Amino acid sequence: MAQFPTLYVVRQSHHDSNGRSVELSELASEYGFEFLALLDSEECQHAKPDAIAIEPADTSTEFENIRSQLQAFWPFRHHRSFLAQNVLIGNHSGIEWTIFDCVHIAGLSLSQSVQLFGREFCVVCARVPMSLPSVHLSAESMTERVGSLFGFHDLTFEVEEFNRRYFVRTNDARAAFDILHPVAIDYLLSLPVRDWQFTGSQILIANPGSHASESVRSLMQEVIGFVSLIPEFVVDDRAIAQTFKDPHT
Amino acid sequence: MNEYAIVGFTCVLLTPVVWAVSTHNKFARLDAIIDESWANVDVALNLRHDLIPNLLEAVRAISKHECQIVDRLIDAHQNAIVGQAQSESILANSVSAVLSLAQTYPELRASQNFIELQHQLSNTEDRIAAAKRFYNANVRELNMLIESFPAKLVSGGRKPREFFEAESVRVRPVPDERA
Repeated sequence: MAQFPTLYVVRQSHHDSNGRSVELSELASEYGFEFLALLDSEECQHAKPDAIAIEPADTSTEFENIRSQLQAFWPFRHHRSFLAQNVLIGNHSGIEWTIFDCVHIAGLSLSQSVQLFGREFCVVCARVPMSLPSVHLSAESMTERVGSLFGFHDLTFEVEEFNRRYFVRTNDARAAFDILHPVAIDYLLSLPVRDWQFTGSQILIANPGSHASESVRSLMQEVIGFVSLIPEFVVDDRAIAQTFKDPHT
Repeated sequence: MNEYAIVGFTCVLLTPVVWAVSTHNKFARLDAIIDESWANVDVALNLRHDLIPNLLEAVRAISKHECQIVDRLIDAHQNAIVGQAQSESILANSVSAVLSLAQTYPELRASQNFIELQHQLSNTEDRIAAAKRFYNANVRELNMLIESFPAKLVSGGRKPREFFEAESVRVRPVPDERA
């Protein structure tokens, strides 16, 4: 009996996603993106209860691509099992996008009594042509405040309101200051608090809950707005060469 | 029972020692970071200094009558090389004054060399601003730690450091001639 509420989360989300799938596939065609209805890990395919009744698709390559692309980010760093629904992949405004609804499988059993503990996110991942420092901006919470007392270092900026809203973790404080300049801070303060992560050449927002296509569009706009504010000297210093020339040829 | 008491007593004795060592190390870490971030500020300021001879050359070639403004920039540049924040502010104001000559001289405004210099100065000012913010953030953290109790007890008599408050060059984009 205990598994019903959790199964309901997954089943309900799938049921709701039918309408959203149509919306997001329209969004994909508007932007010229590739649209994939469902990707999931092999473990999830085996463990999937009949109630969900999703047709198994041979999408393992795409799924592995996404999984390897996201393994540096929370929550994918710690939990490898998830369902990716309504996947949009494509280029827009000079940025490579991977957008999907993610049901993150926190608990999984391959025994007869299947247990899925789903938590749903809308994941917007943007690949930009520069190498970014590892920075994680999360909503300032009691856990973070207690953690900072025990040595979890939080960067503090000159804008007190920003410090109150965000807990900023990084392994390169100087580079974090370069991208989080006063105008970028003002920009972030003008937006709802979101979980922003920067690693390598990617920017990721993992927003809890499911989203209509309009909010996916606005998440994309938020990322585009932030990227446009990255100072030119950072872009120059951290640009990734678009092409690789073999020195032997 | 006795053993537990000894372990408990040792823990009570060790806790302040561990705290004092870690706080002392934190002071040392912040000192090192501040020195490093000051070096970054210095590098960024040097980039600005490097651009000034080219800027002077570009301005001299076109606005030959503006000797006073140009001389002021030369003096400010000489002082800033040996000076600190205040002389950097004077230099920044002098550079701003020279850049504002573009409003008076359309040839300067149209000069490709001047436009390129303005662009480089704008980038350099962003670098200086970023380095300055990082330096000041670290100074703020150190000063707060020095002033807070009980960290003050293990500060080793450190004095709060000064913030770097130099002004920036006001680089405005060259207005379109049609405007």
